[in-house]
Order: sequence, then C-alpha cells, then structure tokens
Amino acid sequence: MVQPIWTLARDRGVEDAAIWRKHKEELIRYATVLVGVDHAEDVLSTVIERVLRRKGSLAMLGDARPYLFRAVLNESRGRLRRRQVVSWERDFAEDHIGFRPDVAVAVGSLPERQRAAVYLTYWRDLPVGEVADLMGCQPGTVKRYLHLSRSRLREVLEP
Amino acid sequence: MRNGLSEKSRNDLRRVLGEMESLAPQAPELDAPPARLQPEVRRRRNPVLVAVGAAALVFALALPVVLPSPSPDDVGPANEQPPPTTTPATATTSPATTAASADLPTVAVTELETQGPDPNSVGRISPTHVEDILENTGNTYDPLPEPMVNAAVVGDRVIVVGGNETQTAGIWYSDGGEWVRADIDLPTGVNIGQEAGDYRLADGIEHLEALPDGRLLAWQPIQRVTSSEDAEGFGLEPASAGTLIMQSPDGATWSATIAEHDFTAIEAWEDGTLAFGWTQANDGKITSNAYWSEDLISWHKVADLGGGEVDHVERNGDQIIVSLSVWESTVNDDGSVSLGPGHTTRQVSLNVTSGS
Repeated sequence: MVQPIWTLARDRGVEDAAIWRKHKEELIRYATVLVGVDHAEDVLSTVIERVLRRKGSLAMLGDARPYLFRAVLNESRGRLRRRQVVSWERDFAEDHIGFRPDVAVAVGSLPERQRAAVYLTYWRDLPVGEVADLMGCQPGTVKRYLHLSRSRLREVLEP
Repeated sequence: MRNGLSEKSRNDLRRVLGEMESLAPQAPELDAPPARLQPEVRRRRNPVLVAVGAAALVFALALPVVLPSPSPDDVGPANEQPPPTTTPATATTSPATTAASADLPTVAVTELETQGPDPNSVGRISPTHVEDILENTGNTYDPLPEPMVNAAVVGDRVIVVGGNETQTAGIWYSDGGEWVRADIDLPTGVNIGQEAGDYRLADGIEHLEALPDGRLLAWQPIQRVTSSEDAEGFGLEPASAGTLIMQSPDGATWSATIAEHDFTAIEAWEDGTLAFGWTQANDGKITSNAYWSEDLISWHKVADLGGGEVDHVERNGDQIIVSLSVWESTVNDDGSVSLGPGHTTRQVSLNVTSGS
C-alpha cells in the first residue's frame, strides 16, 4: 500500500524540513523562470513528493542543493515535454523603467535548459562550474547552452 | 563585454530575468496540509500580481506549431505530407490500398472518441516508473547519471536508459551490484558527437520496452549536427534526423539502426517481428501516421491517423488503441501563434490483420 504523502512528511526528520526551508525560495524562483508562474508550484509539489518518497533523507546527500535544482529542472522539462507546450501569461507593471517585452519574449522562447543556464549565469551570477553542478551536466555543456542562447537573444538585444 | 554580452545587453537581460523571477508564487511547505502537496490541484494566481496592470505578455515556452481542432475529416491522406522514408515507394497510405499489398498488414482505422480538455490526463507514459523499479529491485538511484527516464527488468538484470545530454545519454545495466554502461553497436558511419555530420541524442534516451519475444527495444529521436563552425567550437543547433532504434537480447549489448521518421511511440506485435511507429509532420499542424516494420529497419507507412501527436499506445490482440493530443491554437496580437491551454485527446483504433 502506498503511504499517503502527508504522512511521509510527518515521518521525515527535522533535518530534511530544514534543508527544504533553506532552499525552497530559490527553487520556486528557479521553477518560475523555467515553467512560468502558473506551473511553478506544481513543479515544486511534485519534487517534494519525490523527495519524501525517496528512501534516503536529503541530509544523507551531503549537499542537497544540486540534487534539488536538478530535480526541479528535470521535472520542469518533463512537464514541458509531456504537455508539449506551456503558455506563460503574465502582466507586468507599466512603471518598470527599461523593461523590454521583446527580450522577455525571447527569453521565454528559449529551450528550458538554455533558459536555465541563462538565468543561473546572468541573474544569479554563478560561475560556469556551479551552473553545471546545479544542472547536472558538464561545464562545456553549459557553455554550449550559453552560446546557443546568446545567439538567439542577440537578435533582440543587439539587433 | 562580459559573459559574451555588452553591458547594456546584460542589463536588459537581467531586468527581464529579475522580473520573471519576482513573479514566483509561495513555495509549498513540507509539513503543509494534504491539498498543498498534491500537484495539479491548484490553478490560483497570486492576487498581488494579478492586480499589477498593463502590457500582457504571452510567452510560448515550447513548440511553435499549430494544431487543428480534431475532426473525423482529419483522418485521411490529404491531411499530411509524408516524411522521407527508408523504404521503397510501394508503401501504401490508406487502409483501402493497404489490403492490396502482399507484404503489409491490413489496417483499419476507426475513430473511437474525442475527450477533453484535460491536459493532465494524458502524456507520454513510461511503461514503468524508473524509481519504482529500482527501489523494488533493491538498487539505488543516486549513483546513476541523471535523469534516468525509463527502466526494465529482464531476469535479475535491471536495465536503465537516460542521460541528459549527448555525452551522458546511454544505457546502463546492473545485476544487483555496480552499474555498467552497455555497449551500443552503431550503424557504419554513424557517430554520436558534436562535430558536423555527427548525430545527437539531444534529450538522452527516453524509451525502453521489453518485446513479447524477450528482446529489449529502446529508441529516441535523433538530430544531426549541421556544422561545427562557431566561435566556441560547438555544432550549430541540429536538425531532426529521425529515430535511433536499439535492440538487445540481454541489456548488455545493443545493436542500433536509424529510421528516417520522428517516432513518438513504437509497439511490437506478438511475435516480435511486427511493429508500428508513428511520426508527425510540422507544416502548420501535426498529423500522425502508422508505420510497419518486420525488422525495425525498413518502415512502411500503412495508415493515416489524422490530426494530433501520439502520446500513448496500447495493444490488445489485433487491436492497437492510439491516444493522440490535439492542442488548441491561439493567434496572438502580433500574429504569432501559441498552443494551448485548450487541449483535447483523440483515440483511434487500429485493427490489424497480418498480410497474406
């Protein structure tokens, strides 16, 4: 019999709860950039469920942050692949000086792994090695994602 | 210039990324009540964000393709452009003409039902969830390259496929101890890599099934690198090049072939020699076709399935039930086209009789 998810949460140690509390905000922001506002919470809920159903605790991983980031990216990619499309509809404030809707559309149209690399590199200011760790790939792959995404973004950033 | 962009471009990009991130909803808690931890039950919006007025932006985050509404009229050869095939032009394109061939099966296509919209009820369904298999067989998940997307058990051996990029995409097996990467015998002249002419498994290997005759079958759409000439030494975004189909008797050694079709599902017939595949056209809308092969090398188109992309296939005797997704398309103010959120599911039945 499958154990209900909320009882898994109750039974899990305080260490996992502390790890989740520590990282959940950056994970929800990451998921929002990947799948949009309306699906980010679902992505994280699924990731939590998988974490709770996992045999070992997060605390046993040593550093759970890369594991959680990869889980969010994998779940986001899985959803986009299964549904084939996710429309991210959003209202932006008029008073955002310098905000460029054309750039936003271009970023939103990047493949999710390229968008993840762009977000972690250009907004979070993480070095390539750490981005690779969080994405679960080689640094060379991150560079390739950045190169491909820059090629696309330059069409609107530097026409 | 920093990280390949000018200062102004970086600032423009950072404003957008910061704005996207700032819209994040509240993260769910580990100890939240049950409803908060059940995916797919919420579609509410942050009221503060909704109150923010002004220019509405629609980000189409994935495939820029147009799909028609489902209609019985969609079923027919006039609705799609056949892709290039590896087989002679004798392949037939409709149930009526298929019967005339001595080599191909007779396939009758019947529209079963149209459902929806319910995007959460369909999807490309893995035969068995990889983590469940690994846990049930006493293996652990963490030592494996991630993501592992599918698994099968043959005797005491667990076979896993996955990988998230060209370099790590592959097949692993374990007899209960360490994981060993399986050898894949690629066709002559086929190289998996990043140089011009190489093939790429852009999303790893997703599909793995045990055939009725005991063979293992794995497949994955592949792309081909069109050029390696760019500033950072990587190939340009490659074009779709068909499907890499891998067979194995035991999970350890695999032989591979390439079919020039973008298959999304393959189902083997009972004797393991007859299989169906489906492809999709992307010329303004998606249509799917049924293909047949005796050897998983030569593929013959035997029926048109009409509009939609194949999500899932189930076989029951001489009947194959195919579930297809048909997405609603919306023309935006700027003339671009977005898919969804409207979505319906079509089901068609293929009644198959082997050729004489």
